[in-house]
Amino acid sequence: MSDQQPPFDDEERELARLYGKLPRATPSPALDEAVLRQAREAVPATQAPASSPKGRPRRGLRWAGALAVAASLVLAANLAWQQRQLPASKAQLESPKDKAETAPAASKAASSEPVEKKTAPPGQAGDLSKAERYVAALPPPAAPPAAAQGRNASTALRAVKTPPPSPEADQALPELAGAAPAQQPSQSLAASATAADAMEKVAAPAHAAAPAPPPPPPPAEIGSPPSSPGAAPPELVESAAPSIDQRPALEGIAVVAAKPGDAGPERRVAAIRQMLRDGHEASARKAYADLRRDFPGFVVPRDLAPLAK
Amino acid sequence: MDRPTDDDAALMLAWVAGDAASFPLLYSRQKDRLYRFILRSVRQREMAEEIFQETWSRAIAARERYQPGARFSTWLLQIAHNLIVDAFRRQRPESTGETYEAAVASHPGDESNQPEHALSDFQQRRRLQQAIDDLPGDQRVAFLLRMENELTIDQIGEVTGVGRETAKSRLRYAMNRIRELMTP
Repeated sequence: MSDQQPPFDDEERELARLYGKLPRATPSPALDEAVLRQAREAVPATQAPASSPKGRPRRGLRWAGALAVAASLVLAANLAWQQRQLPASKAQLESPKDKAETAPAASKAASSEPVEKKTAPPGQAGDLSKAERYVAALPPPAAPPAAAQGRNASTALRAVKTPPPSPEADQALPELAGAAPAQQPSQSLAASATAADAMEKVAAPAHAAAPAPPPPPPPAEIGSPPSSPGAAPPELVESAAPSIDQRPALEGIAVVAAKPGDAGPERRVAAIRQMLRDGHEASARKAYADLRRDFPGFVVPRDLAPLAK
Repeated sequence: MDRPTDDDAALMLAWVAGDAASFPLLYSRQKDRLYRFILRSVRQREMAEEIFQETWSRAIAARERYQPGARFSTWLLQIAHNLIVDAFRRQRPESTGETYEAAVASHPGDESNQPEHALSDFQQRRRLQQAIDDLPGDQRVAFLLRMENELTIDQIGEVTGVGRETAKSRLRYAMNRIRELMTP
């Protein structure tokens, strides 16, 4: 070895030559194996930082996974919250008091106002918006909780904005489809009076055909047909028994029409007509005055106009 | 014998970067010189093996701190030297020449085929061995680093942690002492 080393001078070279002849001890194989094993054991720890480009994404994926789980939880909580709100609205709609009070009228309302919105053909979206404005123009008769009212109103508007076209509804109320263009020139209350007249045209046969207010039908005022086959015209029965697709829209409208503890104007109009038919004109006048007082924005049907005098 | 070059630093860096196959090659290039330096410094096989293994353990553990600017062999010898100094400080009684004689006797040297030369070489090696053993510790280390590992004065100072002049002085005294002891 010393022959290959230039840095030695002459004196060192002689010593180096002699030193090179000393016994060349080497580490034992066991010692070699111990060191190499230790190095192998350290290799994974060494490769971890070397593979940090792989490790970092794993850490990022871990974070992304945690974020995904958190987002899923938030979504699930939101859905659960909305699910809780929907049954509350249904319970409000189907409370026994409302059932008892609004059984006839609710079916009428359900068969008039919703049908009014549903019967418009798909091409008459403008009519639907008119009807929507008519519903929205009705002042709140009572003072329901503001939050619930807003929630219900938004639900109703949502439902009205996306009514599925129903062939049955189209067949049931052709008059409204024809009357709808009459509403277009004006969006005032006068125009909505026309819509109300159209509604009355639709609703009148129902009352005429119904000899007596049937006992409060079960939640069926919206969802199931009347038990008596002759209680209402078939088309109204069909309208009152909406399909699954129609149900949300009906629910939305019903929320607007039927307030807790409130007899809706339509139902009052029906009651007033019944009073007139029964000959109780004084009671009819008083009920008419109450109607005007409670619903100042409600457009009274023309057949009741003489009661104002 | 393999000479440590900058390739050793490259092997070390490759191993640190995850190339597991680099370490056995690096070890094979360094182990003999390192082991002999340790063994002739401490003159006890058992202690030499202990320090040898500990040197590699520390090199493995400190692999992340290895600076490629320094020669790998210098860095490794520096670790070993520190362990040797620690071993001296533990005041373990230095082995007599007999222990080291027994250790080196198990390893055959490069004997000449000629009997007269063999006897002469044997006597010279014995004298050299005795002279190395009689050196003070610092001078012995400096001499071994120069003869065994072929380090320069600067590198000896770097390994032993002293300045160039100190390293040069130690080496000069060691050489003079060896020559005196080698002279019949």
